Amino acid sequence: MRVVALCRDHGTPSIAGVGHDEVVLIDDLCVRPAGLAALPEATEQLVVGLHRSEAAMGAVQSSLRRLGFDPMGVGIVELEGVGGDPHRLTVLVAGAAARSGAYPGSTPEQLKLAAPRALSRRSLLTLAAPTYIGAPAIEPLVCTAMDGCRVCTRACPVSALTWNGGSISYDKAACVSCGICVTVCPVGAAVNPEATPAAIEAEVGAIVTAADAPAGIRYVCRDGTAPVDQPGWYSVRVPCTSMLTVGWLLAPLLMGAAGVDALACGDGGCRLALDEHLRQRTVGARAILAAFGLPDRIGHLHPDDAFPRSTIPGGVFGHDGESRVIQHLAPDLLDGAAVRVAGGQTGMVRIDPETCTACSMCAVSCPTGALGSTQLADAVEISFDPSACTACGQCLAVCPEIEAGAISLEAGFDLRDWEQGRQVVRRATSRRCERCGGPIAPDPMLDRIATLLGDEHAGALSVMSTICLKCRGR
Amino acid sequence: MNLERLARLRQGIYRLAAAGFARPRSDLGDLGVSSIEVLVGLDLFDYPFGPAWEEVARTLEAADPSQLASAHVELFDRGVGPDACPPFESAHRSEGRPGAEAALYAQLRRDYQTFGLQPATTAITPDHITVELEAMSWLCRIERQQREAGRSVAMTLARQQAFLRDHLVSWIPSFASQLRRADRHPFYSALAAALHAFTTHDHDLVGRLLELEQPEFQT
Repeated sequence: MRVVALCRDHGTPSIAGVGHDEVVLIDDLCVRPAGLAALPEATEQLVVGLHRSEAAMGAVQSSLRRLGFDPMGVGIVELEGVGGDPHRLTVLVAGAAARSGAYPGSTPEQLKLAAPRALSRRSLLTLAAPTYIGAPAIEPLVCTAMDGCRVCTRACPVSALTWNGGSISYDKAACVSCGICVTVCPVGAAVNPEATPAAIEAEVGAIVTAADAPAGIRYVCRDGTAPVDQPGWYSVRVPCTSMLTVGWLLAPLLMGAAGVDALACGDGGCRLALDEHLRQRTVGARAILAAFGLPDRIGHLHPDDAFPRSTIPGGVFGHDGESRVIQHLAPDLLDGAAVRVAGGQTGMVRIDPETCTACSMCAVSCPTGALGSTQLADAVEISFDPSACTACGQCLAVCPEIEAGAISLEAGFDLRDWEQGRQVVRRATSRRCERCGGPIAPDPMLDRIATLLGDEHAGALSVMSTICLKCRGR
Repeated sequence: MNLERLARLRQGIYRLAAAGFARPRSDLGDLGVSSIEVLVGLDLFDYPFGPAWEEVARTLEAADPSQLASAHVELFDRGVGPDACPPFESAHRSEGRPGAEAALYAQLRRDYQTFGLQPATTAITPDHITVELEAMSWLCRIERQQREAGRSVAMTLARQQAFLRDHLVSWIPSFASQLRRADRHPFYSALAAALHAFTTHDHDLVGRLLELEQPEFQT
């Protein structure tokens, strides 16, 4: 049984719940969350409506644990955003319940003490109970750090993630749980149970479905204050708006929302000074909308003019969401030119045959396999599938000839390239071992090494160029 | 949240966990009903590890002493077999490197000496889980006494942080996972989950407490 427990105070409207909900009104729930003990025993899923400005979330979490609930898996509705409107409350309950239903559970490593705004002895001494937030964990079986991927380490604004010779090390004390690693990972290896793509998608979908008029979705930072009395807009909490991707900005529109917006936490902008992330991705999202002749609903609400709703297989909140959006909208592209998408997660890679040595490091470390390398009988081919590229930049980071411009990357897409699929972008002949016939290295690479070593090492290079490593050891 | 009370709570949980992995006596000894009352009375629900310790209390209350003793032998004494879960740090970390075990023992002995501790027996190695947990309990006791006396706890917290980071947290998750997979007795499965949750949380907590005391003491 799903139970919706609402604080009775401050004019909370009465609602019938959604489906088979049982709605329970509890006096002073915000300031006395122990009142949750009044819940029916058969409660399996719980949604709690509180006035966030009054509630001590640590005490709420403690009360939920006492009742056998995982606090991070309980849907929370902020009653400040309801404004006495029963329909609005019903919609928010539906969203919170859907998000709660998609909660994947958490390990002890994925919980973090939330720091009070001012960390002091007094704050620790006077807190009734500590509050916990989600922290990311890297799924080792999914992560491609072993192949050299370090996208999350470059994206982390506080250097809490570091590449450790084939794996990612995580400094939980330094982490601010912004969620950037979750959305920047090209393979979805970073998981923060507080805000998984699946849970956010579930909440957005439920809100858009339950609203009786086209609704606007506003992403709000965990620490931010959700605006009140804004008819038509429904808030969805995320750890930090800096984690929003172009795909996440477009997704609510494609699910039928009448607008999408994002609100950072501080009065003067993002408390973590990451405003540029959101600004850039907003520009990118607008570029995609313009390219497909779709109305710009970012920051605007048009409840009388619904965005064309689309059902995209596999969803659009995952790490390849932007690519799915583009593929779905492809028939509506206004003109065939390449589209630049600032901050986007689709990419156009170009390889300069004059300076690329065909070493294949880019292909080895490409986390999505967009870049591939094939060893033929007497040549090596590097290929590129643009629809699989997430513009992570890992290829640039590992290219030994990057300063010579051997490889370049631009965020965006060219559907003419997508239609062609995987194409060979570099081909080079390979030297073969005189003894076993196995591959040694591409000719351009050996030429480059010869240039770097100079004439004094010509003899050694001659051996290395004709006899493979294995045969040299015999 | 009173910091002296918090240190006492942590001291008690480490002590209880150490007793939980010791060989059970027929009357359950230290692990008896009084311990269950202590766990229940501690009101641990303010912390994410709270429900896990409630489960420990519940399984302990229902435990048959002879079955517990049998499970203890299968899990921790035999050393071989599908259910064997060696309760030693060296079994989970040294990865067969020559000399690693001896180096670990030497490091631990130095640490214990620094803490003012001497092993009560040579029958178990210094990396046995009960020894390491008792050492952490001791450090929490020192912290509590220092707080009660109004003295600085920075050095003690730094030692706790280092011991957790260099030892307990480095192998308890792996050990706990192995123990849960063995699923030999609900008490040990519950104790494994609770210890994993508690040590992970404690590592974070000590870091925060140390930030308050003196930032330069962070290791």
